[in-house]
Amino acid sequence: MDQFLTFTIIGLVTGALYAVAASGLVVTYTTSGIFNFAHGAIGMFAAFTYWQLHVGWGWPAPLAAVVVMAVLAPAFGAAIERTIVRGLEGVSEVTKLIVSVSLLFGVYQCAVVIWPPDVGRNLPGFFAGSSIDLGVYDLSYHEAITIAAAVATAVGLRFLLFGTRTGIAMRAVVDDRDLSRLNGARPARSSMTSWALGCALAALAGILLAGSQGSLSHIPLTLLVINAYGAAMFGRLRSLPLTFVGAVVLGLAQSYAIGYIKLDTPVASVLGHEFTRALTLTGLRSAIPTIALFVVLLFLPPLKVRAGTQQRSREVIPAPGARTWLLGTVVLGVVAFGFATAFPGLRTFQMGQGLALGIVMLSLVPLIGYAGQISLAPMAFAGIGAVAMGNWGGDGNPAALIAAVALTAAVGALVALPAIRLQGLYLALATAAFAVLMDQLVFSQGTFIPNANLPVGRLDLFGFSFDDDRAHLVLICVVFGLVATALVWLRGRRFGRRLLAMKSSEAACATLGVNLTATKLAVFTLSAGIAGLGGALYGAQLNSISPPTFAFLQSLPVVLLAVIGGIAAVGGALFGGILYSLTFLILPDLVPALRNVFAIAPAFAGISLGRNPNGAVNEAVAGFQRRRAAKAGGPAPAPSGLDDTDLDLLGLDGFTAADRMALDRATGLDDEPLYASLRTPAGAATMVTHG
Amino acid sequence: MKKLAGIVAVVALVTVGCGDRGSDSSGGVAGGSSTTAPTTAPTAAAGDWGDLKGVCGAKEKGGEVAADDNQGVSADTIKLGTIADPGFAGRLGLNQELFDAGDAFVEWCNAAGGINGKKLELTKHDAALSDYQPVMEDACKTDFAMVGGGALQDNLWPTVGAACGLIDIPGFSVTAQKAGLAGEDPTASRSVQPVPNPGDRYPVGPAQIIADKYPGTEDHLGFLYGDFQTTIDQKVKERQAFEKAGFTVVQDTAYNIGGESNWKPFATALESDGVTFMKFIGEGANAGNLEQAMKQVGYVPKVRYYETNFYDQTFLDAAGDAAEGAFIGTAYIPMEEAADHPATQLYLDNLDKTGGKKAVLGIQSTSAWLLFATLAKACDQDNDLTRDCILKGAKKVTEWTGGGLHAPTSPATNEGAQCFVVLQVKDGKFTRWTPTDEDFSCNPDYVVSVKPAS
Repeated sequence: MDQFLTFTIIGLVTGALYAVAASGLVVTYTTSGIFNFAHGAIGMFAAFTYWQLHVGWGWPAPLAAVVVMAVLAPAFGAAIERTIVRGLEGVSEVTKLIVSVSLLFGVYQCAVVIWPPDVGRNLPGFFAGSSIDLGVYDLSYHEAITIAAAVATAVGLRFLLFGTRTGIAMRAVVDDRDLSRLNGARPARSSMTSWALGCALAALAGILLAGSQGSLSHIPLTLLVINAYGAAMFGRLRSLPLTFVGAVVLGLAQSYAIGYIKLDTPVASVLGHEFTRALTLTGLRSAIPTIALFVVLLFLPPLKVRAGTQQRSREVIPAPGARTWLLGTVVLGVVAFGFATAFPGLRTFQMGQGLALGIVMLSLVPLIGYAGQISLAPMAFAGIGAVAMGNWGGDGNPAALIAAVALTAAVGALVALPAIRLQGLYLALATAAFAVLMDQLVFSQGTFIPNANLPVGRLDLFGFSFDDDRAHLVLICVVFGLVATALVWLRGRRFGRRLLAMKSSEAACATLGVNLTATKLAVFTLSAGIAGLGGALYGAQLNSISPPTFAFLQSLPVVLLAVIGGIAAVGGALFGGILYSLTFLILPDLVPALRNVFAIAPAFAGISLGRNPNGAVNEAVAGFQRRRAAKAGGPAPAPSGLDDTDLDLLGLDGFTAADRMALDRATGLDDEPLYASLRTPAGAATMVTHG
Repeated sequence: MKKLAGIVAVVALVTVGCGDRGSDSSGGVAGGSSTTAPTTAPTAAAGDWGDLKGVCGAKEKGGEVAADDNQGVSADTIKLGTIADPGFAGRLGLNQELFDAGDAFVEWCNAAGGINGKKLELTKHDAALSDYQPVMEDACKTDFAMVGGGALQDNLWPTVGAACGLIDIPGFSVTAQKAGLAGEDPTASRSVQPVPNPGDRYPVGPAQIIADKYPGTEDHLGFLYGDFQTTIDQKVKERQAFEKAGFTVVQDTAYNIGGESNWKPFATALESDGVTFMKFIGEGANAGNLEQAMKQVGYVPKVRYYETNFYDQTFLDAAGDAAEGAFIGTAYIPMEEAADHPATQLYLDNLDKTGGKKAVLGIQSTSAWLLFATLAKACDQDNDLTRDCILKGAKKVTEWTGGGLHAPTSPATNEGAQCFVVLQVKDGKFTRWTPTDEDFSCNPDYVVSVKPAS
């Protein structure tokens, strides 16, 4: 019984930590509408700053804590709001998520650069050494403070959001930014307050967690947010009381699991199938928050498709022809051959890595670019492809490649089933949870990657082996080109148009009788299959894969670079792949002094997407077209920022402007300019430009 | 690979997991039990390293360039390569100590005159975790041999390095494939390990030494290990060995290799299962957190035992004063005792000159450099500096201490040391705990045969 009480108390302390972290997440989300993936990273950064002030420079603990939590963290939050978040009005959900993922990436990289991870950093908790005797358990002051902080956070937030003018304004801004502005609120100021508050809470959570652990490490602190997601999801990202319940449940579950669940016996066989190396279940316990996140998502009611709320985004989808891409495939192959001949050895190998990841990025084009659905798990799917290829492919059996693609596609469909009922953010969280689960439970298994190192054979086609680096680079480029051609072709077919229409307005699609669920399932399956293909080739390019290759955090730069390149265009994936080779592999080799700059640069590029959401390739192409048009003396095409999302439907299959207007009328979208013109003339002008 | 967080932890682990097997030097039959290294510093000549005389120096005899099988060798130079992963962006500087040790050794050796008068030209090949194949292919074109390195993808050695005729005298082997089994012939794998870590041996010796002084603790052994395949495999291996040695396991718990949000439940579980001998598998930061949690919960097992890879300032820094009393078993002369051990002292002195991190891994790499230099000198003096001659020479080295850097191992038969020293953390420092009357305590039973992980 004493043991049980002890585990309970410890579980409550863990729960209190999660609660503080999760409430900060919920506050930012409910008051600014942006889910801050960087929440944990900001808390981590704050903990390191606190360590620097307190341990590094010898400041007294209270002073250091106050400076970090009450000055630096809120200032950082306000600065993020001012410089980044404010630019995100009118961009799609995807772009918002990517910007916050970039922020996570950037903050993490900065912390690693400033405080290198190969040094141990001891951080004593508050009032280290003093404790309260509870009979069965000595509750340290630090733990008591943690619980008190959670309670204070709960009470304080409740009061702030419901009892003060500021709080009510914050909530109003989320409900309807324009309406609250009409009523005299200042959305920008509310939003800034909430980011400052969110960051302060992140800092509090980070410092409490680091103090209770006793020493600092980058990853657990950054990934704390994953545990917090689980808790926040109990409250559906809105209800603070339910979030607290969720946090306590997770804390207790993890604590009891250590005390009472023995997972050290490996599973030797499943359904009569004997594994050569038994499956271990030891990862299950640490996966509890992730599993909880998944389960809660399963039981979330599907969000209703709401008409009229769909914002026109200022993002455009360009439409190159399939024939162009078929030709491009040949060019790509030739260029690859030339590159590999000119720069044999390491450079060719590194370029091959980037372009293989380019295929993985291609998998995001139909999903994110066409259909507007978000996945943060491309590398998890790629990992499935690579593991399948490594285990079945031997020296490069093409049948194994096909099997790898089929398996990945099937897994993709399974993952999508529970998630597709939900929209944007929830799908992103579900895929993130899936990627973490793959990390913790699958890729770490010797059953799949023996000795943490699995050789992957390079393809052998009709007696021709692609073992040579140059041959493999050409193969990767040709596969890239063919997949790109297929995607471009698909975009003009009925299925492609359905995806584009779904991105434009799910409501309109539903009205027209499009089966949203089937469409989403299909595109998710397709995307997973492509990622599996890319992963198999990536694994073969590396010759041998190890679990870190496909870790959850590996997916982030892949998504990031694909979006930076321009997620709606297949050319963006090519650009992203080459950029990956350059910034992560080749340039740091050539200019070691700027290594840290290259590590952080993609994060800044991602953050800048808020201002320029169409990606580098589109901007370049649009600029080129404008120049050419100007030279020819003709009218310049409208700058991409002013384009209309579904303009690209025009001309497809007899779809005319009149059809579009009819579609808009049917879905109430054409009310928007009218609605906007009700406001100040200046406001109307901006509204129209934003489309 | 590149970027990313999760990785960092895992990589640290993998490397350390390897260090785990690598640096503590398992297995072994090999030599006898005499182990006391010379404690009086002899008058050292420029090219002497501990008890190895004239490792480097001017040409004594021979030195003619052989006809073939000697790429990279000329009348006055030898081109050598070393490989590590410091360019891995997920953890910049990963195993940089291998490169540092290589730089320091080459500088020292060339200053003394080179190997039999031949100067060494070192190329550092950065595999950055994923680029093993292309950088090894580069090495294939120029280098005579790979010396003193270690890279995460070294399972590719047979198809890349060995396939192009290179030989490897690595600082450590990361993968089980590269580490091989006890008794394996180094001429077949073209890889000779100065401090072997075969997959089918585990040195339970230090634990036995401790349990002898704390009777009863062997009946309450608890394992804590990361939930990652490498650490799990290590645990499976150790559990077999400990049970064979008469220990009784009462707890077997995995922690999240990426870090736990609260370590106290683990400390509490140790208490409720009555663990008095705690064996932790992983790396310094997590162990530091557990140490602190145990101290706060107020249950500190009588024995907390760690492998050589915890012989590192990171562990002490992360654990703070909670590390007091923790035990570390090792087959290396601790750096704290360098003053009495010229070989270790020379390693530290050389690093002071060239700069870099001083670490057990660097000492292990230095042992590889010394083994290569010793073999190469003998071959060159016979006018036969060929890869074949080096391998044949290695097959005869059944007792190797790196001039006194570590307890004797048997590179010829791929078997590690059977002599150990146990250190204890005292006043924030690693301090010799036992034996106190000699450098190492030796016993053939200290090494137990186990079933390899796969």
